Amino acid sequence: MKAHDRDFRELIKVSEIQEGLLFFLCAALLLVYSLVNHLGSISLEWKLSPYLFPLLIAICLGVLSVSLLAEGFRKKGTEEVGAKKGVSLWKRSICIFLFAICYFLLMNLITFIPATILFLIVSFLYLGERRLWLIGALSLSTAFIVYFLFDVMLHVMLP
Amino acid sequence: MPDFMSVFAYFLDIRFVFFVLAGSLAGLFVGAIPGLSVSMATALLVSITYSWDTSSALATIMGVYVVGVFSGALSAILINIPGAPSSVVTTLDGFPLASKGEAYKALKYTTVYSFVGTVFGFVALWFLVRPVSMVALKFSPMDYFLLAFFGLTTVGSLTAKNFSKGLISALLGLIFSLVGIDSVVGTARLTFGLYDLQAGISIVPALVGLFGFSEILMVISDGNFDGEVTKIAKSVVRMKDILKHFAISMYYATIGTLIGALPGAGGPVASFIAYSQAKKIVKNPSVPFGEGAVEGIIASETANNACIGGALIPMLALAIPGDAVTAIILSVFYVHGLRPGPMFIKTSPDMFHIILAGGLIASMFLLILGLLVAPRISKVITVPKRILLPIVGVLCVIGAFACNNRMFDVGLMFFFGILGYFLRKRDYSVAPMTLAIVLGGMMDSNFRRAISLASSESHFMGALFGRPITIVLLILIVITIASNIPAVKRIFSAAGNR
Amino acid sequence: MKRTKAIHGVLGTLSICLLMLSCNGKAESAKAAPVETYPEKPITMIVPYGAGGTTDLTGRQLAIQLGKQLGKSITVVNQSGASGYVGAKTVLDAAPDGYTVLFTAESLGTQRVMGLSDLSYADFIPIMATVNDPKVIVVNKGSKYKTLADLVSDIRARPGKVKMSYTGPGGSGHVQALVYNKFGMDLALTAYPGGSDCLLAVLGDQVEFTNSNFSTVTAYIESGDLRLLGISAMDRLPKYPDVPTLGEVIPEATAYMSIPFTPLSLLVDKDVPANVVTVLRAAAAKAVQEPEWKSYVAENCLDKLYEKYPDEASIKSFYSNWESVVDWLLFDAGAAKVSPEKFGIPRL
Repeated sequence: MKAHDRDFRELIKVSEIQEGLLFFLCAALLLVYSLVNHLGSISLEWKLSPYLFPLLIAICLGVLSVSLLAEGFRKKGTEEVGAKKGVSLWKRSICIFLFAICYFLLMNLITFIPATILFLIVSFLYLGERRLWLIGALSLSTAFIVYFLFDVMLHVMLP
Repeated sequence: MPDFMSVFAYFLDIRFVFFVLAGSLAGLFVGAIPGLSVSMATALLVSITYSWDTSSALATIMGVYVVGVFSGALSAILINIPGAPSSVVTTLDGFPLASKGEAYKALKYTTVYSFVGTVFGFVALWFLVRPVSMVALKFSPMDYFLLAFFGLTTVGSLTAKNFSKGLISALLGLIFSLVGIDSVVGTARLTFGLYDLQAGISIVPALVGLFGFSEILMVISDGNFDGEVTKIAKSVVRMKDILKHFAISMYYATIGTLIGALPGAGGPVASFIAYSQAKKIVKNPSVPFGEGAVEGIIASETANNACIGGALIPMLALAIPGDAVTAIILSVFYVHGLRPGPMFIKTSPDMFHIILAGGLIASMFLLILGLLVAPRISKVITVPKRILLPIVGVLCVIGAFACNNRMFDVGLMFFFGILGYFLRKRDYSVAPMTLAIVLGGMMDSNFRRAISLASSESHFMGALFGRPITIVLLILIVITIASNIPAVKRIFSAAGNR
Repeated sequence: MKRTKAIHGVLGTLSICLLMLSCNGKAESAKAAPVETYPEKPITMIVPYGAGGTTDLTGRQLAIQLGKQLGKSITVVNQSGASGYVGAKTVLDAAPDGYTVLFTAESLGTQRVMGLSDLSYADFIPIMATVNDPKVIVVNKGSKYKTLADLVSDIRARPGKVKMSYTGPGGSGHVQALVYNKFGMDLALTAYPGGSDCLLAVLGDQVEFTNSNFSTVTAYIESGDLRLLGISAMDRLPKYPDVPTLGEVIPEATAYMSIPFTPLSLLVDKDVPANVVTVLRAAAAKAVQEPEWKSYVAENCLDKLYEKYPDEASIKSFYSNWESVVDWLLFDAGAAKVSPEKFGIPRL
């Protein structure tokens, strides 16, 4: 039982297995979705049904995910698994992503120019730029140039 | 047949040339920024230019159109974010080349071959309007389906490293392309009750997210953004070397022009197909494809610029727009009180001359601007990432918003940014996904349209596959798949035992 | 350490300043938004369909004339998608200050029953019911059908075999097909994404005929590539007095011909202040008197709805009448997903 457990844990670490499972899930959901919708609401033949393509895609995706899983099983135990090295600084990515989301939300609240300036200042600082004059100049000029080009020249209705 | 002198006369008209130049400068900027599309700029120009005379309005629009399509490659090469869907393929080799410090070389090749493609397209427009438009008219829904399918078979060539991962990425793209109201029977698919999804996932936010935003996340998580800066290699790019590829570029240009002439296909399809052809034909590129081969840049850029002349063919010959931009040029004619239609070239030959002259002058400006700008703009790659990334971030958000003035699209862009980040982390290429998003709807609706057309005929299969173009396309597809068999084998061996 | 602190301090002050600034801006703009001085800046006209179609062309023509009257330019923005939903939604999402107007075709009247969205004409104030682009029946120049009677009798002789291209469920072409259905004409319908694709299908001999808007086919009829067989309206077109209306061939269909199938309207958000609406209405009324507009209307044989429905009350009753006829037609044929009854649309 214990060995089984460890086996499983080892297996789940293989990236192909993770991806294969995820895509298999997607394929299964899509398959169910298209079958349910086709049989439930459409009085057309399969060849004309809008759910024909989703069904075909689901089948192909299913087959490919199985092939990924197979590849994962083959890789398990070989040294390839732990070969991925290099510390990924994914936390920083998340931060920047959150900044961008905040920027987007803030834009609706405090209009475009201030939101842009704020976003630029914060992310310049976060990414390690320390020359304050540069930060100020760049964020101000970017915000105003973009505003001028998009809103004034191109009539994009910026918030 | 328009006579040479009446077209050439416009070359000497300072005012006309000036308007083309103004348009070209605008196009350079609009094309290079992801999310700002050429069609958006031309649509605005219609509103601005209605009080001008038709020749100035068209001159400006042709400038924007020609140079805008070219400059999509600038951002594709320098920051790995294609300015427009038709430059997606350019990123595959352009960015790796730029990362090696040879941005200048990449840009110079791009400029020269964009020029070659554009001129080819306009020459085809000049001399072959009638025959090409007749061929385009003969394309039935089945043929569009097969063409899109043919485009998808190029996935194999886009993903040399891992074929099944490329296919998965393409399949995910296909799923996204099906979201929204189906144009054949009008049911909403995969919208999960969101009205905002009913219009489908537009390609621009997806593109900006998959390439632009995910690139930011990638660079930051790799942590090398404040370290070394790409050095510019001091190399001389000789014109003689560039022009070595001229003969083969004619082939890509032909592909581009023909695909451009088909309403609804356009630049992305042309550049993908040309690229896959390049991979087949060019046996020994300077470096392998995908690692900075100029041959790949040449294929993509020649083909997508040749599309311009192609797209103008059905517009002038039949008043059927070949793409979004030509649809807007049509409305320029209407707004100026002209009547486009099958007789247009005969009844208003001067308009035909203006378009030809505008296009050819614009392609010269493309060459001049491209060569002038390339050495300066290639320094963008030396800007420290910690400065560049936040600015690119702003452009991603604004670009996604600007393409349709929708806040919802910004949300979509974030979604695709995250998705792209994870896919690229796990070695899934995002290029097949963009191709599939472009092609998916075309495949799906044209397939069922073909079935629907054929189902009222007495010979169902005959009606479906009986046309000569259909047969030619079928043969092409079979050949492509057959030649890809090693790749197919690879799937099987990966699944089984190697 | 000190450095970071300083930076934080700067950041904090900056953000507070910005917040204050923006609040100020908001308050000011809220105060100054209406109204006596409307229009103060350029106006955006949303056309919720692609460029080059009849709605787009007419909208652009109107924008030019309207801009002249208002003394501010009007920028036309195409926002296609979901049968006009995306563009209509943008207009509702924008501030209701009259600087974003909608120029749309009939799909707003069928959105709810087709299950596309919950938008309808009731969400907007009509500025003007502009024109109706008459529906016409065209075939390829090489077609075996020489007259409308030929076509009608062949459709009746071969039910479900004669092919027609149309722009998809709920569109005006679909409504036409349903009218034919009522009189024993069963068609093989194939949907195309837009009006010009429908024409392409006729030009390329993929389908036998199509129902198109007159303005989009005039050039092809003049060049001889398409043959005009009939008109789906009450009266013959002044440009082609020899071509019969559908009602002349099928007398029972006359009742359906009285409704305009493609009414184009200029609308604003229903929360737009009344005096802005008044300014726009006055300008629109003047705009349609401009000679350029008049020649555009005459050339395309457009039906001037603003003469038939001059004020808000008549436009509104026109919309509700239109919704009753078309929505029930769609629902009875099984094309509409939701019963019009749910939205209180009475059966006529």
